[in-house]
Amino acid sequence: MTKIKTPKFQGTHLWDRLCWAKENLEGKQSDYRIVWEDPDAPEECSKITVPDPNWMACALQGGILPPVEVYWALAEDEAKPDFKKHTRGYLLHNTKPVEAMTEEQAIEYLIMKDIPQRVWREYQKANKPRLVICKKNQLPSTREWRNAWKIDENIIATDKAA
Amino acid sequence: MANGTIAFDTLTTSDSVNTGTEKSIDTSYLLNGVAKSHGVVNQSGTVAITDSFNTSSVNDDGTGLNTVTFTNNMANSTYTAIAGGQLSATNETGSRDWSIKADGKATSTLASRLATGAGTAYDTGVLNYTVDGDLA
Repeated sequence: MTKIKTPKFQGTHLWDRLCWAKENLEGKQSDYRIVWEDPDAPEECSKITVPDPNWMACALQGGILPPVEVYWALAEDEAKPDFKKHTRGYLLHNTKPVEAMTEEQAIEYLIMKDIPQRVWREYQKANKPRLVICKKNQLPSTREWRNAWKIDENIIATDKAA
Repeated sequence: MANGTIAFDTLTTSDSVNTGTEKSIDTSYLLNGVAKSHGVVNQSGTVAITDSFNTSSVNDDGTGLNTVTFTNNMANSTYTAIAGGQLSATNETGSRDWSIKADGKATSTLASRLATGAGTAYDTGVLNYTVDGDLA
């Protein structure tokens, strides 16, 4: 099947690009899941990030999503104590969109976009594992004891050693 | 016939069928009035996103707990968000109460909790949400 060509979207409102993608791209249900724990809330259970199928289709297509640094810039603005409203939303729309990604690259992008930086920055220096990328079928299939789920430290230690 | 574009700033009707009084609306009202994000999330088993728009991911934060992240941020955190859980069987009774967490609204995320009418956290097979407001 011929891949549909992405229009030149730089300067087009991101929301309009998402409308185009919803109309023209088939959603991609990813098997990947990101399991993570917040070092600022060690008493909380593991969280699981599920990639959105329409977003994943945009990532695989290329030319639609802005660079992840744009989201960081907006997050910095919002973290300011006097923040009321975004005044640099144009960064989403005017910055050159990123090229097509593989599914694995898209997951890395998603980690940097949707998971707090304190979780994945200096990940290697953490004294316990706090982020794992796994397949959906590696997670428990029932919700039993959901609020007690934690990342298995032993399994990760083995993977690191490998 | 190829698809094209119709560009206009004002939509006007003679309203001859009803009042006969001409009415106009700025098309920016139409854009501002549509939902900016929506989705259907299956919270049971392994969480999955069934349908969505302007969503990059959904977090399973625990029983009944979810965080939706937007692809196009909202302009501010005073947007409107509405959601509800669907009963899972035709003979099921009771209610499902959806709440935004106390610090749950940011321009990039919406964190919420679903519970039974008695207040017990609950995972539903069909969580529906919609977000209205201004985009960044």
